[in-house]
Amino acid sequence: MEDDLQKIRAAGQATPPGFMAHLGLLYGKQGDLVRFQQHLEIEKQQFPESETFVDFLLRKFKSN
Amino acid sequence: MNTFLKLLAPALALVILSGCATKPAVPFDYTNYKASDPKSILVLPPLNNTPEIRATYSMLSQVTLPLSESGYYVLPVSLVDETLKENGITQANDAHELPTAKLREIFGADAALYINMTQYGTVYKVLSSATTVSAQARLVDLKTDAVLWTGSASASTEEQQNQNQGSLAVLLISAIVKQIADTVTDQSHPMAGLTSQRLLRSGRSHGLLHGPRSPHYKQEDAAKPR
Repeated sequence: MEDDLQKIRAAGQATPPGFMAHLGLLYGKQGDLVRFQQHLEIEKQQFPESETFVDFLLRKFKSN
Repeated sequence: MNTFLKLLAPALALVILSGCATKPAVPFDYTNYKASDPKSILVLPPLNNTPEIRATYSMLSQVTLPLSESGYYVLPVSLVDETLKENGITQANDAHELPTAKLREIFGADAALYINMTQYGTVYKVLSSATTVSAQARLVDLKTDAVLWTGSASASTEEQQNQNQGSLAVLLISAIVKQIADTVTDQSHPMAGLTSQRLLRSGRSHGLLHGPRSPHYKQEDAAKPR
């Protein structure tokens, strides 16, 4: 997926909705929680509709 | 007797021919839909009413595309699924029974899409073999619980097949071969993709309305005859 991201950035296009969140999830599953957080924040900025859900996830993640 | 028949003939013709007339499709009532004007859609894992265990995720992985193309923000399905699992909801029917207020509180979506898979997989029908995927869907407003839209769609490999003429033995054998080939190569997944396209693409009659991110947003009435 990082390859795809490079391709999208190279083409100067916006990432599709949910892309960053899914990438974040994959990082999170590998234990890379910093990147998990970063990618979710990007998703939230890009698509404000996801705000409630992302905030919920980050809150839960911080309390752990 | 003869005059009676003469009178009866046009009446009979009328009765027979009126059977041929197709009813014009009843336009779908979009009142609730327009009032609610959903911007984000939460897709819950599809309910699986088929014997195929893969049906749920095959469908779930392919519903985001048509919905996004229609102009809605779809909450990332992988994250939603993971969140549900983390909270002990591993079955689709458990997810479908969650109270809408709770869903809104956690996911913050305007509407939820409940999908029900009714057919998935390759079925052997003696002289032919078809891979069919069918699904029904219901869009529910998470604020008011109102049903905004319902629809169903189906896709089958049989649509593309030619009616080949041949002896009974040839037909039987080709059906068996196709049954095995389609099961091994898993034709169901692309068919599920086609079904989700047909089910959720906006702009067709009885379909979803265009979402706020679509260039056709709120232009349905202007461009009515499709």
